[in-house]
Amino acid sequence: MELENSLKKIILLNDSDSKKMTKYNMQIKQFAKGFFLITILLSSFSGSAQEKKPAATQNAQPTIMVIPFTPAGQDLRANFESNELLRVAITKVKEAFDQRGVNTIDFRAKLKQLSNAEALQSDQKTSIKDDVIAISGADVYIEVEANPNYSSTGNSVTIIMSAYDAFSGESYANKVSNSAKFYTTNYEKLVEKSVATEVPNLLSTIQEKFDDIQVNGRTITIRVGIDEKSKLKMDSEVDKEGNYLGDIIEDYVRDNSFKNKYHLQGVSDTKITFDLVKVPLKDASDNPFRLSRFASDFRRFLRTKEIQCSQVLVGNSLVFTLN
Amino acid sequence: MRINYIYTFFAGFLLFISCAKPVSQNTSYQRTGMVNYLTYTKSELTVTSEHAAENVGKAISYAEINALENILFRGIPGSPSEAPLISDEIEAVKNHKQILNTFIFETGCKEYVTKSETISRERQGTLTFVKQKVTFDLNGIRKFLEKNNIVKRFGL
Repeated sequence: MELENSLKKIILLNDSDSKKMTKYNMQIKQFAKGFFLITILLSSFSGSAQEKKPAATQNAQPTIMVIPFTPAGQDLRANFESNELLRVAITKVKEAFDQRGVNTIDFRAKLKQLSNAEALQSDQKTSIKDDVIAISGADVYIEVEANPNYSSTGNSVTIIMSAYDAFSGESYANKVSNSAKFYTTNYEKLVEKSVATEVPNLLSTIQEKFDDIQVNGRTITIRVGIDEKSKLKMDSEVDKEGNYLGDIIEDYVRDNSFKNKYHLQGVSDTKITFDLVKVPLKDASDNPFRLSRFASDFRRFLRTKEIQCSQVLVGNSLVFTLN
Repeated sequence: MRINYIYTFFAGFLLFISCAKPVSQNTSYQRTGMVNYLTYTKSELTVTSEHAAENVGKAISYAEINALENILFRGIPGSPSEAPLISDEIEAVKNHKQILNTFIFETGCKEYVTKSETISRERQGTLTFVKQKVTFDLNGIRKFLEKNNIVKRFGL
């Protein structure tokens, strides 16, 4: 009996314990639910309170080469080697760019590379600049001109810096900087002062151009001419709808230019010239836009109208000759 | 009769309070264009900046903030920093309000002012006007802005 009673007590105790346990479980579950909800609410609040940080902008770092300005008819290498002030100016401009963290290419090294390759003869004066730029792989080149000014009130230097797109030759920025007058012949110091104050502004202007290119695209030029032997004319009807050749070319350029931005310079019987056609910086696949692709597409378009043509691509200029 | 006395006393009291000179006048900061270029050496830009506040300390602080804001959003004419470091103020403030506020009003002047000295100070009425010569580490500021994606690095 005693055993039975004790067993009953144990059972009763267990029952009450299990009831208590379920109560505790319920409370814990409710607490967990509440905690979960509060956590979600807090995290959402903190998320909205925090500033939304835009993703890092990955922009391509262009390479810049500083080259000496050489007047027409003069030898680039001879000019560079004979003019000490110019060499100092080039070095100082390059230094200023390096300090700003811009990738630069050493002009002197490229000039040596060109000499070693024996790619050029010294009598090829006019092409040295183009060749140096071509082998350097620079995106932007900056022509520097340095002139000393002598006067009874002190000496100074004038530095002219002009930045160009190596691909198209398009001008990006121009800056003229005059140093203050000092009674000194230490032109290196004058050049340094002169360059240091104007390079940041030159870079800002180039960056503004870059920003503009991103928004409005690069500029190319297109010239379409008709071969002498061809019977075609710009006002020849080239399809069943009776469209003129000149019109379908203009329509194509309008439809395929970036944001439909283009400028028709002129049309004659045998020629149509677009002095400004905007193309994007990158294609639909986010790869750099290839001008050769644009040219091929245009050629294929003409083939659909049963017109054959040849193409020449120089820098940012496209030249088509219709046969 | 008694109520009339109370009203008269109360009106007089109000009149007295309204005519009293304020104990302290708190001036709030406002950006001005009174920042001029002085020198530039190895990415250190020195400008003069003028501002006013109720005490010298505050006026100096306002002058420094004013110079910094001009460098960031307006550019300093005739200097190597002619173009503002942040080309689109509205867009930048919209996207980075908290960072820019902290930078301009708290950390910027502490961390990127390499030298600051008072050229002149003048007390006019309740305000002190100061002309401050402030030197900024321009490269440091630019790097801070680039690091926080407020401005892009040089490039396409």
